[in-house]
Amino acid sequence: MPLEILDALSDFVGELSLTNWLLYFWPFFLIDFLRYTILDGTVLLHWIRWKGLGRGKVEAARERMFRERPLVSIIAPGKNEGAHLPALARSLQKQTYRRFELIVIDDGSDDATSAICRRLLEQGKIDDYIRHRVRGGKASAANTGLRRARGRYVVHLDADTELDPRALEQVILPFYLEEDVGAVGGDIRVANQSASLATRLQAIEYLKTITVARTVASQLGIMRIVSGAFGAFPRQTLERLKGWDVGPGLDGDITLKIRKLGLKIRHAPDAIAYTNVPVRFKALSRQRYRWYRSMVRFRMRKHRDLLNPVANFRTTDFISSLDNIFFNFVMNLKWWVYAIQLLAFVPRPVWPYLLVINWALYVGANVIQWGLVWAGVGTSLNRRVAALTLYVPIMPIYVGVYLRVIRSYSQLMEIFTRSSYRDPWNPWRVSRAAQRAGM
Amino acid sequence: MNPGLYAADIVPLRSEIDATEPLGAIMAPAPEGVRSAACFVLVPGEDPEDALGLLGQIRRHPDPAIYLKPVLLVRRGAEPLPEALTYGVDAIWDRDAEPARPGHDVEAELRAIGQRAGQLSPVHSGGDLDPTVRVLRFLAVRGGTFAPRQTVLHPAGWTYDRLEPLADSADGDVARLLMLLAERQLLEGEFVARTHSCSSCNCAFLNFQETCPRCTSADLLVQDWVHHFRCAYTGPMSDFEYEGRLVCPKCEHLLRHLGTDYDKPAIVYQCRECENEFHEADVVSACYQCGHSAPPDMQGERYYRRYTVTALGRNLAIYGVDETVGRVLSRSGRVLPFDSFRTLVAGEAARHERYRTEPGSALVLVNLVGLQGAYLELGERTGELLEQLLETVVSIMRTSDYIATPNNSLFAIVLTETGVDAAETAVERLEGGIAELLQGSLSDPPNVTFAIESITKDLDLDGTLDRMLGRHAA
Repeated sequence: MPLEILDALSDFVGELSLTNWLLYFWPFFLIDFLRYTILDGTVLLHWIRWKGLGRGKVEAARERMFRERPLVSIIAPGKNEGAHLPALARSLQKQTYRRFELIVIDDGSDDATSAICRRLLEQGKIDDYIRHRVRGGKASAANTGLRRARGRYVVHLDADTELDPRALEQVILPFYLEEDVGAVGGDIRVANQSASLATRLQAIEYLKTITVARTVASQLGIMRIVSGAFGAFPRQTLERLKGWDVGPGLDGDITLKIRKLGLKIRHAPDAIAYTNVPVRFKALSRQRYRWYRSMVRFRMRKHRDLLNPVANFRTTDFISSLDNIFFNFVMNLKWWVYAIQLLAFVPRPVWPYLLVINWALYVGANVIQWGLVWAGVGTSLNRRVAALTLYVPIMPIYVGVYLRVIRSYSQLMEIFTRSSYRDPWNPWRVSRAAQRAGM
Repeated sequence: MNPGLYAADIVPLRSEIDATEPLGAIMAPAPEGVRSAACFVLVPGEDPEDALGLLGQIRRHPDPAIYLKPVLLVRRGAEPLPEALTYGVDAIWDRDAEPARPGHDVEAELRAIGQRAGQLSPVHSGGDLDPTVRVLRFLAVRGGTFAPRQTVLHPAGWTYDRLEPLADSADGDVARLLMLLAERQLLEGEFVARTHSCSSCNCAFLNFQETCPRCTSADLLVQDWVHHFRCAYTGPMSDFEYEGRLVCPKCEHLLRHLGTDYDKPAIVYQCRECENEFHEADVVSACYQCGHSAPPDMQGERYYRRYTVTALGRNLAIYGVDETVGRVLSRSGRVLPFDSFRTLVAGEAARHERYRTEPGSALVLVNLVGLQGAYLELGERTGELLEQLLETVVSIMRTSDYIATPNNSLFAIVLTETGVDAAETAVERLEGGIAELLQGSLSDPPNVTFAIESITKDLDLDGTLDRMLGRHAA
């Protein structure tokens, strides 16, 4: 029986003309494969070559940095994050770049965070601890941290993040490699990848969408987000912007604001930070629901001026926003168009063949992309990451079905109900004020 | 009451206690009038300073017949008296209100105290020199509960008025002595207050002030830290102040309503000396009395409790703690320190609980009721009698048994691997041996009582001792 199915599939594929391939699989060939495999692959290979040739330049920048030894202020805002802080402090003590101050901003914690922070303060593992008696949201806590920062550079960290020993050095280095860098994103990887299927899939996703995709976007000058979990900024730039605005999505928002200042955004794939991701699909769904809404709220509403070809137009800003909106919003809709096409114009018996072939095509693309990950940053990966290869064939379902459904739902909810303002991620009084202001 | 007898009770103390004598150093000559005739002392209150001086002399006198004597302050007129005098005496007789004599109840109470005090002998040939003994005896003779009183006139902020004159400054403060007695389970305390006091001089009047962590200056500007909801800007209130209104420096919007537009999640300090801005100031406490300055957690902490004397405490107050006897007992290798004994009993109980060994172990308590007579008859040689008594007990015990002396009139013995029935046999032998010794040594031997308890996990050793002493306390 399986062999008969295979024969039928083989016959179906053999009968497909070039036109049929394009008609049946246009989302893959015309969009996804071109954008995420061909373009990313080309740019990444170019970057790998540049990395090899530019070693001397990097070394010179590194020498200059260690000669100047600028103070780096690490700010870690959060509520009830005390339990993570000792590990963060330990990972900071192992840094190759040592001139930093750690500022913890307790955003109205109601657990033992305060006691833990005071103990770490006494032990000299935290340099500054500020407590907001009531929760004001992450942006206000980060802004209080910014106010306390004394360093030339400010690193924003999630408190549950642990840094690779070279992370701090690597995230500051781009400021010495180029002029006018306004933000550098660290490379976020999954700390708890072995916890569940969900974490394994996220581990692959992070390596593809952060490590590779952001390196590519950085090379193309269209990087649109510096992750809140680990990002570095010149303090002057943040002070010029008077800090972060109300979230959720404050990391993407500040990145766009920095772009508007005409500054460059860079990704540092060797500045590695490990973070814990949701273990269960339910928690992951909630997290992504929050993330995907911010695309509508910030890109399409708050920063729609980036698409205006008249006012303060910059091509890279325009492409950056267009790339994001097109591939994350418009192209998200393509699947629904594709689904309608299948239902309306393709005979029902053909559907299973199309599904299987689509899956095989996307598995192939994922394998190539996984190869790009190893080609790009393979030296920083270990056997545990290699073992994730077994899960690559599931990625088309994870990204193409699971995340796509959440993304579509999130965006529709945000467009029609502005649901992000009701997200408990911010205190209600803050969300209400932000909504009134259209922020 | 016979008015004549009453008149005789008014003892001219001033003439009998020499104020120039270094009190407490040696036993003052026994003032006959006080010891035999007076049950309490009348102190005239016309000159409060004189009265206070006299009260101090009485309370610091080493002879229990004097320092334990109730003091009745006689006053006329409405002039306020010093607190130390008002609360330091046992009672006040307002002669304007009661010209003839104080109230009958007051007089009866004072006489009862006086009589109880008169029965006690000094525990030391030079008098009661140990302030702990003096305080315990004072409490036991008066009975009831002694509560502290809050006052700004005492450097500690709280005072045990009637006890204060008992200890001079060299003895340390009364609160510490009381805590010491409570730790030994001679007093039972009920929480009243906890204070912070200077670690140098015990003064409770401390000035807490915030200082700059960088330069230690106390010249600080304290401001609210403001969070503007609309744009998430945070900063000190001064960032927002503009022409008498609050305007956000980031988004330039007006902040109208606290809670709707903005809140104040923290406070911020700005040092006027070094311009440092910080959210958590160092806190330093400085003593108003001696000027000693330290972080609050490095200052002293003191608990004030209202105290009552336990049965064990009453027992010790009456019979005293003779250091010589203590040394005799501790010389014997068979006598365990009481803390070790307590551990041993707990261990026996646990062993029995775990292994269910039969017949288990037994606790025997031997209490000598009225040992005061032995002190009166033999004086310091009571120690020799106790040594013989101990030898008698030890000779009857097996080498596997243990003994401790919670106080000088009480012996506690653990009979290992001995059930209650077998313990009764041992007690009969002890009873015979002790009776023979005491009857041969004293004209009026104390009564000896015994108690036997099986050592189980439910045994409350302290409670058992307390009950034993309470049942037979004088």
